[in-house]
Amino acid sequence: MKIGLHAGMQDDALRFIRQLGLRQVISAPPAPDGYFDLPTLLRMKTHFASFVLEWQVIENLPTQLYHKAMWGLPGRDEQIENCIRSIRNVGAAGIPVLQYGWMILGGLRTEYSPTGRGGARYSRFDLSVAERHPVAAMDWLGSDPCYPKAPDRKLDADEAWQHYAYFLRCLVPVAEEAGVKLAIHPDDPPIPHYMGVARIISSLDALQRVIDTVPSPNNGLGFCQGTIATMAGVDVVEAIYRFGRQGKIFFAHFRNPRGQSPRFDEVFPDEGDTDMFAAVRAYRDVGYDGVMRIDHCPSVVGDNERSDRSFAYQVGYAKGLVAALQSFEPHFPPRGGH
Amino acid sequence: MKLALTLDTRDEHDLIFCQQVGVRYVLSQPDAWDLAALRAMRHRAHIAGLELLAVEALPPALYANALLGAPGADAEIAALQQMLRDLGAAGIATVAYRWAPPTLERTTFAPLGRGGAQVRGYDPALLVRDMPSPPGLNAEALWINLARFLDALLPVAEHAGVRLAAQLDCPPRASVGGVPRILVGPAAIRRFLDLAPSPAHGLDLHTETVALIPDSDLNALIRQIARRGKLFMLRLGSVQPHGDGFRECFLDEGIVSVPQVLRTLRELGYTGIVRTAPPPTLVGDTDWGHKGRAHDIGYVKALSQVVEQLP
Repeated sequence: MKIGLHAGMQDDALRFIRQLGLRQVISAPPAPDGYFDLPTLLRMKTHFASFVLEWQVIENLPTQLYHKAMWGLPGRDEQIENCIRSIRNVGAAGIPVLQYGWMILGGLRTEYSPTGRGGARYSRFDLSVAERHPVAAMDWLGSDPCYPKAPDRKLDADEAWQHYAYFLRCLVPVAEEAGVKLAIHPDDPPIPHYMGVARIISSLDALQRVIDTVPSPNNGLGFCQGTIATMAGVDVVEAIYRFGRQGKIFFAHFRNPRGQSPRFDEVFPDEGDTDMFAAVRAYRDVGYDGVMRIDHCPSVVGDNERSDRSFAYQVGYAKGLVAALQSFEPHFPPRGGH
Repeated sequence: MKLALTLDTRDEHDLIFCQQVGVRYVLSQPDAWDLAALRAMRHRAHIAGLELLAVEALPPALYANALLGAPGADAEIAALQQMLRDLGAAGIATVAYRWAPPTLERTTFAPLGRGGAQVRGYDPALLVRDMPSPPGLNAEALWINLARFLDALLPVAEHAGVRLAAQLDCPPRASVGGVPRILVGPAAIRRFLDLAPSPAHGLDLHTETVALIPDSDLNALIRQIARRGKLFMLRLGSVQPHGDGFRECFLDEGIVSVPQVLRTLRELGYTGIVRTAPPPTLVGDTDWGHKGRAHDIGYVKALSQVVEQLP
């Protein structure tokens, strides 16, 4: 697996990634006309290459480009046409993975309080708090106009799956042609519905259903390890084996939360519930050779807006686990196949 | 092992930083060498939930004459003896020191590291001329002066419950800029340890320094020293050779295998201090190197967790 960080085009962000010894940048192009255009993709890719960074994953296809498809509203086919243009351009730019989500109401959190190690602020989701202040829990990302608005109708899971299957059937054949892997990010937090709107990608069965709905080498997962670890009752290391052995992990996020839905905290990688070394071994055992993005964790005191200190810590931690596996490989043989 | 950071306890934010990256032990330098200042330093760490284990280094200016065998040495020794008593009274059990006349040990601080990180380096070709060396100073004189220094201090240190941990010279060369140096190799380490049988007499090993000793075996040396009970502290740092010199670098890229060192320490059952060296300066980082230290601490913590699982 290849460790990387998310960044835009700023020089100091890209230099930071290189100085940490990483070769992968994960980025999201702008889409002012409703799709990713090829010149922009190539300009960005060239810029990253000038920093000796590879750009193999787009994170994400912005949901406002296909929200009508998620809701099943008139105009969805025009949006899907634009998604198809995006996929073709991503393929033409030689970027192999496009991550997207089906989070109709976006990500949810309820607290950001200095309750963590050394007073670090832990981002928390607590369903009992969210239910008291449903709209407030949608606010945690900020007020950018591209973030989802509070819903004015309900949407049940069956209908949401129909809309999603329609979307997938339109896109996957194009992705195959274009040589692009479509990687769906699970719903964070992984709860089945919110404010009457289904969150369908919130269980391991749902991830399997995505794969089985349109079987294709180009249809798979953006394996957000942190989100999957917070699915109630799930053993995320086993999930790496389950989906990794199917070759369905196209992209991964490295994060170690504490707790599971309906309540969890995002803590430092060395204090969560997941055995992160067992996770690294699992990625090795299933032959995962894609990109692993270091995910958000608590900010450290005096940090900048990109949380460089926090990410430096996590990158060091992830590299330490990988170095340990390489150095002591004979002590940690691959687990047998099923 | 006790993973530690070297910081200034007067900076509250750095104490918090230390806790947040999951480090519980610190080394520091007092703002004055008296009992009150030492106690204040230790107390500041304590109320931040951290344990201050050692003083990073005795200021060489406090024993400049003792080093050279010059007049004034006796007064310096007397002052140092009181400092050791104060350290003991303040509950600070270890203090590091160097035994080398001043010279230029680093010639560069330039963006020559990974991705243009600022790194310190040593390139003998850049030493434009020799440093003025005190007349009559040679290696044997340094050994004799060191023996006197230890004879005077070790009994006091033992009584005070304080350990004196010497650091090797880096670069580990018998002469740098025309200035003689003695603590530069395995033979010198043996001779040094044989100077005194005292339990207060030992070493603070810097991994990059040992790795720079020609034909050295870092892990074998750590084992030898630790088995004699003389490994008082260890500092994890790394370097990349460059020409006749070297450049400092991040812990994951140099000639020091940090995984192997941690494994050796675990096999030895080493319970002492392990701290990380000052890191290369990343873009936008502070002088202290918050980003670089965060990276190095994360790296070491992950490795130690795995090393604990080794049979």
